[in-house]
Amino acid sequence: MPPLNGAPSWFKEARETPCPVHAAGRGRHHARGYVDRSLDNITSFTKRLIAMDNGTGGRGALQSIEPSARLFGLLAIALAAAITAHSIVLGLIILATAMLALGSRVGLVELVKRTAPSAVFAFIMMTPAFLGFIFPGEETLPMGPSAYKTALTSSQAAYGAPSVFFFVSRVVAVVSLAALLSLTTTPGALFNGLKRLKVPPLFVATLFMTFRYLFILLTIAEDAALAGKSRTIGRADTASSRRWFASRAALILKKAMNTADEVGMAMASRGFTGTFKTFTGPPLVGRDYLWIGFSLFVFFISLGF
Amino acid sequence: MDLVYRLDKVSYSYGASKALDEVSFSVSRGGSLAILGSNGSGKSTLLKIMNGLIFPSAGTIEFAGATLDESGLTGGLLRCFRERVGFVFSEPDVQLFCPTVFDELAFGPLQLELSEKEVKERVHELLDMLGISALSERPPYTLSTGEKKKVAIASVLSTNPDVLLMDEPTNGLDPRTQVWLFELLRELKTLEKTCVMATHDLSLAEDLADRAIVLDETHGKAADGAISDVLRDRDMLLKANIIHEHSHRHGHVVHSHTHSPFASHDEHLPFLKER
Repeated sequence: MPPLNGAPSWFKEARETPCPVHAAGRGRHHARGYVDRSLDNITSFTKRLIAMDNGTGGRGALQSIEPSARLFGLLAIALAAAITAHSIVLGLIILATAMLALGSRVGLVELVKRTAPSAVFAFIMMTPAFLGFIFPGEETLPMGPSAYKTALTSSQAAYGAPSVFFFVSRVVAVVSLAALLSLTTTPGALFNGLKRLKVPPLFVATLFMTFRYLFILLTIAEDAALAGKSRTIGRADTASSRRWFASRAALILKKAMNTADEVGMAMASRGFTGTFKTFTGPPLVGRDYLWIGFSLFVFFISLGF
Repeated sequence: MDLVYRLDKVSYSYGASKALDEVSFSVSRGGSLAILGSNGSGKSTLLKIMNGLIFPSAGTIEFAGATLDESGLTGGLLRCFRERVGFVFSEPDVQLFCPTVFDELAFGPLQLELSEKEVKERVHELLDMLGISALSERPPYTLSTGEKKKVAIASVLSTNPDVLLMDEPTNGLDPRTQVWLFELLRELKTLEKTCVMATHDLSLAEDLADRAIVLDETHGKAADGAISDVLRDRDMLLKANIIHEHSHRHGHVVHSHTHSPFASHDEHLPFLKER
C-alpha cells in the first residue's frame, strides 16, 4: 500500500500565501522558562567537562603528577584549609593554590570564576554575624522601629568581620582547590586516581558510569526540550508546562532504566561477575612523592595552628 | 558437523507480551547465520538468550552440548562461555562504559583474569589491527557513531571469541564504516569464527551469511535455510514484513516490484533493456 493512500483533503492542501515577513520581531518576546535554562546550564557544564576530556586540560605542574597522588595531595591541602584555625596558614594555602594554578597553566580568571559563586554564597550566609542584637555598642545603621531597634553596631561589626572574613577565606581555599582539581584532571584520570586510592572499584565504576550516562540522559532531555520548542508557538501556561515536564521526566526515567539494564547486560556479556577488575596503574615516581610530602607537610602545619 | 548452538522450542515473554514463540534451530561451528525479521519480531531477544543474558521461559538452549540456564551458567562454564562468545549490542553507547577506549578494550580480558602485561599487548595489537590506535586515549562518549561501533566490536574481539553475536551491526553507520564492517566480518569468516547476526539489512545478510532464519510478526520461525533460498522466497519475506511492494513509473509504464529498503534495483536492468 502506498504510504499516502487515503490522505485527508486538508493534508493535500498547499498553502498559497507566504509567511508575513514584515511581522517578524513584532510579537512579544517570551522569556525562557526555568526548566529550559536549567537544562541548558547543566548540559553546557557537562559538555565543558567533556571538552576538557578531549585534551584541553593542557600540560602543567599538577598535570605531570600521577592522578592518584594529585588527588591525594589536593585533598590533604583542602583538609588543612578546612581545619586550620590560623589566618596566616589559610592565606598561604590560598597563595599556594594561586601559584599552583599558574604553574598548571590554569588562568587565575578561570579559577576565580569557579570560586566566586561559592564565596558570595558563603558571605551571604555569614551576614548575620555582622548584626548586633544583644551586644552593646554605638549604633551605625538603624534598622526597624526604635522601640525594637535592631542595629549594626560598630563593636559587633568589628567583632564579626574577622569571623566572616575567615570563614569566606576558608570557603575560597577549599573551593579553589576543588576547582583546580577539576581543571587539571580529566574525569577519566580522576576515576583512575580514586581507584588507586583504594576506593572500592565498584563504587568508582558506579560513579564513572553515573557521570557517563548522565550526559546521554541530559542529551535526551535537551532534545525533548528542543522538540517541544519546535512545536510550540508562544509560551505555554504553567499547567501545560508542568504536564510537559512530568511526561519528559517519565520518559527519561524509563530511558534511564532501560539503559541501566542494557549496560548491566553488556558488562555481564564481557565477563563481569560483580568484581570490577582493572589495571593497577604505573608506579609513583619522585615528583609524586615530593608532592605528597609537601601536601602532608601543609596538613601537619595546619594541625599545629 | 560440530554444533555450537542448539535451540529447541525456545519461547520468551516480557510480562504478557510474547517476544519469541517456540523457535528451534541449530548453529554449526564456523557457520554464518543471519537472523532476519522486522522491528519487534524478537531478534534482539533471541541474541540475548544466545548470549546467556536472559533465559528462555520455555524450551531449551545448549551451547557446545551444555545447557544454558540460570543454574547451569556459573563457575567454569560461565568463564569459558564468556571467553568464547562475544556480543556486539545494537546501540554502542550501552557497551562503552569505561573511561577510555584503551580501558574499554581491556575490560573483557581483565575480567577473564588475563595478566596485565598480556592484556596491554593484546589491546595494542587489536588497536593496530583495526586501525583505531589514534582513538586509544579518547573517552568513548566523545567518539562519532561509526567510531563507537568500531570500538564496541574491538571490545568484544579483545577476548578472541569463537562465536560473535551481532545485533543490527550496520545500524546507523555511514557507507564507509559499513564497508569497513563488511570487510572485517569477511576476514573473521576466513578465521573460522562462528557469526550470528540479527539484521534487516538484506544486502549484509546476502554477502556474509551462509544461512538465514526468518522471524515473522507472530514471533515464530517463518523460514530456515540457505541464504539464497530464503532471499528468493519473496512471498515469505513479504509476509514477514521484511520487504515491501513498491510501485513507480518508468516513462508511461507503471512498474511494481518488491524490494528491501536498501536493496539495489538490479531487477530494473532487464526491464529497462527491454524498453
